[in-house]
Amino acid sequence: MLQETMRLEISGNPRLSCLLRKFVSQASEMAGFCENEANMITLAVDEAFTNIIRHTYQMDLGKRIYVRLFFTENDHIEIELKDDGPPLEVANIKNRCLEEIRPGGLGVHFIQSIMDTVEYLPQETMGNVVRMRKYLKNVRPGSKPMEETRKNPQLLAALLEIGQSLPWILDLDTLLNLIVKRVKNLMESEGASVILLDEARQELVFHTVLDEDENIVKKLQGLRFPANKGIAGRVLQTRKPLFVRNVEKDPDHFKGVDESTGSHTESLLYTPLQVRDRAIGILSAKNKKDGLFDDADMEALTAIAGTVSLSIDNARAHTKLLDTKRMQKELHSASLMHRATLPQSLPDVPGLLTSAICVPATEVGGDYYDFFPLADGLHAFAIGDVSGHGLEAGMMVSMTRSCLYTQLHFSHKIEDVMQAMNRMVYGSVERRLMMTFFFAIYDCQESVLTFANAGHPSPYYYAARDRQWKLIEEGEFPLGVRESHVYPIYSMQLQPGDIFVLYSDGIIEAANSHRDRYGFDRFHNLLVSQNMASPKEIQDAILRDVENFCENFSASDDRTLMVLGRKL
Amino acid sequence: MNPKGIEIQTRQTPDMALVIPVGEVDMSSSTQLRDILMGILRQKKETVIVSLEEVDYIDSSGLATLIEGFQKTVHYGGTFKLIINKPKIMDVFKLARLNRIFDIFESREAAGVKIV
Repeated sequence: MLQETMRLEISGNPRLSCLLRKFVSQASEMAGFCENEANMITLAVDEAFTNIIRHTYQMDLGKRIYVRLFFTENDHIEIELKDDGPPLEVANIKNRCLEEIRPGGLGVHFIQSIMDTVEYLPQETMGNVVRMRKYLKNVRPGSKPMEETRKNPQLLAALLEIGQSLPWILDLDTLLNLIVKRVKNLMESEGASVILLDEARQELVFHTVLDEDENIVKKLQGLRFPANKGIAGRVLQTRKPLFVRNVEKDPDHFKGVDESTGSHTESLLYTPLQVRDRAIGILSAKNKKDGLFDDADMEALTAIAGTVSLSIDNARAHTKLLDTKRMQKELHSASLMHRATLPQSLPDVPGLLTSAICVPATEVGGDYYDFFPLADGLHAFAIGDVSGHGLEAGMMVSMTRSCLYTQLHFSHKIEDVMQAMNRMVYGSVERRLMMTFFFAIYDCQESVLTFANAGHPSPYYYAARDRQWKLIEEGEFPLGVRESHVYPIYSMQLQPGDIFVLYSDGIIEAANSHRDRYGFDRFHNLLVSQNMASPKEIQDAILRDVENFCENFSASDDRTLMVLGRKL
Repeated sequence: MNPKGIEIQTRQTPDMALVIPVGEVDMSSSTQLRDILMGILRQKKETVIVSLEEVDYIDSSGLATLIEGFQKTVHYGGTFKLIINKPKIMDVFKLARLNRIFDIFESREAAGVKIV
């Protein structure tokens, strides 16, 4: 039998990792691992290597890493990586939480799933050793229960099969159905079930039940009981497996379950399901067909429980991921809807030049603007911003549009409009939503702009006569804050050349990669530089300036502009 | 094994981009892949396909890059596809349980690549 220890000292430079990989993969194959396994071992070692470079050495590429590789042919391979870095806090080495799909954090998950044992050994003064070991399949010495079960080749085969197949089943129901079937056969029991903990309600739920008596399945399936009751409650609290040979005599036996199902429990085998330190439920077998459960049964069930727990956790995480994916699709439709809500063309208002645009953020935003021609040479303009993003905000924008449209048919008096809009936002299902809203009516004959402002960023006004830009700060808080409120109304006479710039806070708040904000100063300066420009030119210049400021940093909020200018 | 890292080929049409890294995607080369991928994503291509047909090795930093690409593409409403025809590359995706998250195809035809 070939045994060999080899050493390699190498700089912690990612570009050298291919050398290490070659070394490990060939040694693994020599130890007797098949090509696939050798690839996996190589991946684990590579991840450990890059982890040292990234975390321990903080990308200081000149530092050394000492590799010691030992293998016994047809038995196992052991690889140690030693560094000179500051000792690690072992508790900080985290396995990737599979519930989150995000870049990074996968390396430790790889190492721990591939290798049979992984030890992190901080050295006393300086340096760390990570020691990983992988056994050939047929010789892997498991924990004690596995040693026991080696006596029973059938059981061992079943355990290995469960270990290999379960983690790949990501649909929780399919997974649990398979688990109870396997457990029932393996334990030679009348029934088996998976009881899951509903953390929010602190109840245990019979999630999946298999029993020779169909009636029991019907009655137990979905049955809930308090998580601190009965033998199950005890198992959950102590986190220790338990078998009860004479259930009825056990003081902890919670008769509620038997009573409500008409089942008769003689002996029970319970083992806790836990992921890391978190209890997630119980795996149980009921009434052994031939006699009573013994220690070997309990050990076998405990051996399965670890894999079962991880598989349940994976399946749940996967469901969450799929939900996220579905949600992203929904958001996409919502953002299409948002765009459809905005006007497709500009209004034709005698004596007034208009320009407007909404550049939506990647998420569904809540910006809104609209125009409405009214009777007697009057034109209505509205701009608003619903707090928050996502579906709710998108819905609110749609509601705003139809509410405003309906309201203007009845009355376009500004106080009526403001009151109706406030009631709509206040009464919306989601109370936390607020909306800024600026509403104006322009009288073409008189060249008068009358408006009310509910919390929308103060418009900029250019008075052609004194060539000054100033903020029109008249206005109050957003819609939806108070149940009824009378918003004050203001009027101004527009002179030829006067310009009115309305914008959403996505302009002012636009950030670059240094988290600097575009801000009022830069906005003001840009406006000042737009001498004699038309509303459309001003609008384009603002957007361009904001984009230049942000460079490629993507917009987190909609950017909306509406520019009105009285013709010269 | 290419000690010089990877070479990345790209083919593009107005609505589709095909990215073909050639070699080993590891910590030292995944930044290269990331740069190219992010450049393409900024153009918001409707379909972004990364073919791993010519990749011999991929590690967690490579996967992280692809996850980022996937997330950004879905975010702007695009479609992100992977082509994987080697079991050893697929094994790494399975280990990370990412095989059901990505849309994975065995060949360019199956992925609907219309670029020659």
